[in-house]
Amino acid sequence: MRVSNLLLLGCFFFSFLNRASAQIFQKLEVHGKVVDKKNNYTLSTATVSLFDADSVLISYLITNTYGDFSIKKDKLKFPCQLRISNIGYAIKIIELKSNPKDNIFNLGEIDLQHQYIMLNEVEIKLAPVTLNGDTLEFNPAAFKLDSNAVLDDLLKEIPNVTVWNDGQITVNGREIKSLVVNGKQFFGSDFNIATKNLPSKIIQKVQVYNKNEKGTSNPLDSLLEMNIKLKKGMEKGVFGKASGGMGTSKYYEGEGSLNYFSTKLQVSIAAMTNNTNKIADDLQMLLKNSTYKAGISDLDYQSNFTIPGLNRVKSVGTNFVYDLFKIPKLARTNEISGSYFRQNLNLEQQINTTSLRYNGIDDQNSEIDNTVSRKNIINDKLALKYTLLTGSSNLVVNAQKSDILKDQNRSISTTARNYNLQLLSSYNGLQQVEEDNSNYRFSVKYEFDPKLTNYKQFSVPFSASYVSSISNNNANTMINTVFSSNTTPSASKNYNRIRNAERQINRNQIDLNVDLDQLVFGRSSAKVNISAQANIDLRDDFRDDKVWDGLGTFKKLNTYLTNVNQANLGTYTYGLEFAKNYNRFLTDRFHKSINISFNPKVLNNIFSSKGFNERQKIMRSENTFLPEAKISLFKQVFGKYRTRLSMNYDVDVNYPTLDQFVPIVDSTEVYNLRGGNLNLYQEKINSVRLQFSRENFNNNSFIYQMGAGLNFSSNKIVDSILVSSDNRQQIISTNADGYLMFNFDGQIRKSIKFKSSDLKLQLNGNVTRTHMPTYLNNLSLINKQWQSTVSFSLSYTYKKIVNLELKETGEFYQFEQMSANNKFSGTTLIHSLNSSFLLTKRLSINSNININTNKSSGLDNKNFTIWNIYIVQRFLKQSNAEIKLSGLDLLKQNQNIQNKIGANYFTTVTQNSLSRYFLLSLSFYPRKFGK
Amino acid sequence: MNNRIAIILALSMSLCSSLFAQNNVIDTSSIIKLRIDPNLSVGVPSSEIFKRVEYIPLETTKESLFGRISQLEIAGDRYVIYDQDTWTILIFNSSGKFINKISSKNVAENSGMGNSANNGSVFRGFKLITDDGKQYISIQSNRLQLKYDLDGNLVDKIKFAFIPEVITLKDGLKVQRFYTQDQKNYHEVAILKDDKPELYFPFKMSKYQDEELYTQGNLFYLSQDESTGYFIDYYSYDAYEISKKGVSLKYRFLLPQNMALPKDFNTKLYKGKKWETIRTNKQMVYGIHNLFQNGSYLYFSLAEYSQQINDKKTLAYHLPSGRMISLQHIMPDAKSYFLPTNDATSGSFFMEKGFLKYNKDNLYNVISAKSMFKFNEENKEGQKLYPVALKNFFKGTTIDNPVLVKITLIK
Repeated sequence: MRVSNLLLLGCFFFSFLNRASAQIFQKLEVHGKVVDKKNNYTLSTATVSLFDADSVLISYLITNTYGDFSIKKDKLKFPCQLRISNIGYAIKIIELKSNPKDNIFNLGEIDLQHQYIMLNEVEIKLAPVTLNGDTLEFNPAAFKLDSNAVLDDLLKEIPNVTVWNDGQITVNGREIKSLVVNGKQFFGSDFNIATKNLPSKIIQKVQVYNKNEKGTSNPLDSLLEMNIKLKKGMEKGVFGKASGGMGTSKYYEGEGSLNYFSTKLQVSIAAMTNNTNKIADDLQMLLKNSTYKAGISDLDYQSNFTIPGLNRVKSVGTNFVYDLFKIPKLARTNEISGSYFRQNLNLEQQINTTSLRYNGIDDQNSEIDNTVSRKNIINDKLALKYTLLTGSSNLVVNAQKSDILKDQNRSISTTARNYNLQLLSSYNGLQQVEEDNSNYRFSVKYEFDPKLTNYKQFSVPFSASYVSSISNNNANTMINTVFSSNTTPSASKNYNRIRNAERQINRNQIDLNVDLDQLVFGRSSAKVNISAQANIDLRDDFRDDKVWDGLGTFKKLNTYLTNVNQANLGTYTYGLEFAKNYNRFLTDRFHKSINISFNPKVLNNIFSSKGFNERQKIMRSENTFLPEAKISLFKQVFGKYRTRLSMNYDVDVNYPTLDQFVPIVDSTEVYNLRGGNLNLYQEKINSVRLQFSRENFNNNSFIYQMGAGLNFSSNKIVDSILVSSDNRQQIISTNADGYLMFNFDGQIRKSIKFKSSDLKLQLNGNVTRTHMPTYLNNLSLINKQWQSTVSFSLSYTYKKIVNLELKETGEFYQFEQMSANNKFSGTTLIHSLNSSFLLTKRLSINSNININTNKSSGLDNKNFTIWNIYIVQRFLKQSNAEIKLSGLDLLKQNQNIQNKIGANYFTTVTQNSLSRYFLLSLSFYPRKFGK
Repeated sequence: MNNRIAIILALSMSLCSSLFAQNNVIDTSSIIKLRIDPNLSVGVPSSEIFKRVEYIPLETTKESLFGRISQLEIAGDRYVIYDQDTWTILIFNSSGKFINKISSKNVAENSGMGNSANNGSVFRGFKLITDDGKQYISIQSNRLQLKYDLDGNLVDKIKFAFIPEVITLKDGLKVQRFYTQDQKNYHEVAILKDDKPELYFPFKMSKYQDEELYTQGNLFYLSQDESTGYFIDYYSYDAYEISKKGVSLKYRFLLPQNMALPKDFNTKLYKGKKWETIRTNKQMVYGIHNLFQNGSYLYFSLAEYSQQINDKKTLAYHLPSGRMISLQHIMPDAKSYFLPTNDATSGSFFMEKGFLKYNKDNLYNVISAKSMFKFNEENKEGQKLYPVALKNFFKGTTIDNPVLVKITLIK
């Protein structure tokens, strides 16, 4: 069934391509020289654009020093058209008709006429590409686009511009780091909001240029920015989506969004509800997925078949950004923004887990766990932000409030068996939780550096920030548990327990960084850059737990678990940074630099706690010296390549929690009882990280990025586990030597554009090797783990009618417990084929197949395939309404399996989830731009 | 702007013997008004305006590798350059062979700064001075004046004493820049005569202390035959001629309104807003520099923030006819082996500064090796015409030293 479907799809695709390739293509060679005869000189930066018979832009180039250009193409559909343009000149159009002899055109001198009068709209439309100083400008009007095309469609039409599947855009292989509309962010930092919503017809031009990164003195650290310049009168607009759908098995979907923008204000409101596992966790995601797209619909907003359970979600949100400047100012910001988001999640989950748990040498238990839960979660988030960036001084003030209301019922049933499948123990529990969590956060950050605008002025640049947060948590829990031990009958216990837990965490952080260069060295240039840093982090954790055992009138206060305690952790860090920069710069040739910085810091942790329980009265203070350092190398050969190599040494210090020192142990946590350890002390994790990247400028070449890191510690806080004969675990935290983690990650991207199609290749990989010391039944062990993920994707787009993406993802892991002969490994392979076909101008079919293979040692292989199909018919004049028939999990094979590795266990999780359904939906995209 | 501290220092040290002086009158009767619309300037083949074009590759060795010429002086058969990328003075002979260099480390050691520095704070540029008819390189560093010969050897060092900048014209007339007799009254120009100086262009010290002063060149230029001098103030389109007859307003440059500074630019209205205005209005011409006359052509550069290829900023104005030639649009021909004579189409120097230096009948430009290799790749006609020095240069690499272009002008 599966294979035949794929074959059918393949045949369809190849017949399609055959039909396309039946057109006649011929060779072309054209040469010429662009001149201004009136003024008697050649034009050395004129743009020459070649269009084929379908008015598709095939290529463009800039004339050389002598005004010369030369274009050679092997396959081209005649008649072609050359459009030659230069700033200040009228555009010249030259038709090239096919010649029976050959298609070599020597056009000689091509004289451009001055355009003294302002160009009118029609004439401007003819220039597809212009070089305006250092800015490359593309004119949407010169591209043959659907009347409903959006920016995304335009970018895909431009040679050397690649829009990647993840939304990233590259121009000549270089990544666009920032996309702005009329110089400002457009509804946040996600490129997709602009690329998939802005109609090409309201865009005057797309500008691409280098922009210096703020705060970097080196002009070579420039970023590629894309600015979408809107036509006059089109600086305001409204766009959005209203959609609703009903399906089989009572599945439904509904969503709506409305966005308004003007030169000063951007405001959005959005809402959605569904029970099809389309969950947006924030407004940005909601807006991203409510976008209009001309041509083939996207496949990036589908039901998530890996989310456990049946989920009903309702979300609503709004945000705004208001520019306080009367007239927009270059490189300055004065704006106020705010957002509100509310999400109501209703989940029904059934989770079955099978765990293999090691008890020591050649000994393992199996644990089967069935959990059924119902949750209702209401999440509210309100945020306000004020930003004032003036160049030399920057101020950012943030205020946030969030509330999470959780209501949960859970039943758990667990059985533990030994290697011979004899029952060791069993557990049944019922849990009801009502939880209210509210968080308040206020932060202010100020940066002062007058050197950025006046390098001669005596100054002491500094940055200071203050963050204050209060987190309140109130949880009411009712627990009913029944535990039976077959090996130790006296351990069998039943509990009916009610807990009211209140917790408040207050946190205040102050961070100060002062540049001491001019204080130490005066106005003369500093030989070594010196800065002083201070960070104070005060964390007060207050808990008030009231616990009763029994039910109704038999309810009795549990004096052991009823407790009030307070833990205070103050972390004081003081440091100096010495930095030295060696530069070798030769104009128009190369720039090499080495930056070395040494950042010694002293960290003082003061921990104190007190509570009803006398054992929780602790007072500790620990000092640590952190000798952090960084070295980075940079080399750029102008016009050829840029490489960066950096090596960092950092130290991370983590202080134990009160629960790790002296926990108040709740016996209802039968299988995971936590013990305390007063001898525990802070862990210090050393980390060395190496990163390398290379960008080639001279052609549309590879972008390489790779990194490797090593973390090691001689006192890592690890678990010491005692497994009883009936599979109960007591876990005590302890410090241990021998922790080691090595990881490597890399990425390669390459895109190739053909005449009517493009091919994109992306390879990502990461490997992690961990040596984690642990204690198991007092036996000292090292858990060795290999984990790696490799993904390879190849996507192919033919005109606007076929999109294909083949993706292979492999996850490999291996676990080995040294000196205990415990070892297992597993592999998860996902083969994906996403395909989209535009059958008519308004009818498209999308298919998405994921073939999952799950192999684990000791378990049967699990294979399942998820195949989704969507048929979309657009209608109305602007094609901004659509009717969609979705068929999800057509083969009804979804098993939703996940594998997890822990300190001494390996778990396979099977969860209830979505299965086959059909859904019919209707969507309307209101769109109005301009006055 | 970069010279602000030096100028203030010069002003504060410049004391003259005269007890009082009054401003002399500027003759405005023979003013020539030049209407400059850069858009109307044309290009001409090299041979129409250049008598000779010589490409002088500056030898590349491990010792002589440098970046960007920020100062060029011609001393007999030597080219002395100051490179701001490496803070080094390099000396080449007339065919571009490397003679020696004076590094900031060398200067720091000789001026007593020891090992403390190898950077731009040791010295900034140099002067050519003449002693007993012989030319020397004079470097000011750490309150000392170091004198090097043209082979780069230290000859003498004396305690720094301020010497007023006095330019001697061909007829022996001495013109002093930044003149003050009492540190209360200051003048941009003084013509030194036996009895008393003639003083012109009074200004207040606050001009150099508080004002935003930007230029892309100097304020004072010598005419091609060194018989007269020209003075152009900041943010002014007026060029004053200085000769023994006194100071006269010689040329007034009239620009299209959309390129000209606002009329009230030098008033309080623009105090503290000048640079922002220039930066925002990129095509605004905020000064005239590189002014000199050769035969019937007046050469000059327009100072603009914009550095686009389409800007015509360095022009040759034919005084009899009013025809203007854009120097960046000179078309390569056999005279220049079909190579461009500046880096406008590939580099940044010419668009930023205009030509590097003029000296007698010659103009000098500099082109980086990267640009030269690009030109060579695109030059289909001229490669076979190259002289040996150029042929050898193209055997090197794109990271070799730049090439000096010596252009002898037709009068």
